[in-house]
Amino acid sequence: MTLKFETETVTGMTIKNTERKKNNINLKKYAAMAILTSVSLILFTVEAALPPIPIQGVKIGFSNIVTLVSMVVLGKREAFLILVMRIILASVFAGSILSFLFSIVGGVMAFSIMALTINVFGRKKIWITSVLGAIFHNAGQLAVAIFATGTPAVSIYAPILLLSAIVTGTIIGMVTTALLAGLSTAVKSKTIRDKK
Amino acid sequence: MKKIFTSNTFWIILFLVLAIISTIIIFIMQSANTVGKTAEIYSDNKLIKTVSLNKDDEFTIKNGDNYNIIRIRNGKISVCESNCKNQICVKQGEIDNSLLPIVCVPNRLVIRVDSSKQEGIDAEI
Repeated sequence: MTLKFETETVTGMTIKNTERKKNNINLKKYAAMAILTSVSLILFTVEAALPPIPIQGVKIGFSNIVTLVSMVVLGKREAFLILVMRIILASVFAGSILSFLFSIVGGVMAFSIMALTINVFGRKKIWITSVLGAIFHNAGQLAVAIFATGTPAVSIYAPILLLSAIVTGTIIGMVTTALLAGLSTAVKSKTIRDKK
Repeated sequence: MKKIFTSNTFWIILFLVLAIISTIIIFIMQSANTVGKTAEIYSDNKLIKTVSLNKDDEFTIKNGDNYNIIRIRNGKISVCESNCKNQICVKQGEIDNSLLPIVCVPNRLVIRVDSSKQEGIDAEI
């Protein structure tokens, strides 16, 4: 795995030995990834425990906060690993093959569009990336729903899913912006630079 | 050109337009489907039953080991019990129009209210 960290800011010290330095950074990165994975699992569980929204397929998608934050702080590859790990673990704990299929298709769809656009919009306009991710997530889930039920009539959900994606994506994007502003004092990343 | 696509204003307008369009579509679908009187029940993508929503009823739809108990009450249809894991079909509650069909993906069940096949016009008065 390539190193995307600014050494000093992560380790807080400079170590002469490059080999040790590398290992140290790798360890820190793996620890950060593990923490972010568990945070996103917790968010996923909390969301599942909240009273459900009476419209099928509509949810806020708290886990996407973690995907966005890790994409900015750690990098895209790490964010993808965190996403996949979260989906696998969530499905192992509470889910079926089908819910796994729903999550992985939606998640990968959302991730691809976010990875493509995050450099374009940068940190400041991350809400746009978030909305695009939400739209693609819902599009992926709708595709799985049509495929799984074999009923094209399910596509009647499309306008509702689009509307909910725009609303929830904006909310999640704003939360992410606030979170990154708070985090930036703790972790300084050079992975995604602000575009002015 | 690139500036337009990365500007906040462009995307705010785009998303707002999309949101408004989808809201309009939702409202059109809802107003067009307020008088649904029959419901079609699909299992494994096959129409297995058409029921009238005028009569209160309760019955079980089985698909292998899976079952959904469907209840019709006051012109509305709902799944009141299911052995599926996510229970989304039960949580969705009662529906009386074709806007949001009840879909139970684990049990491969779809309940759709059909507004085009209304029962005799004399029922409306």
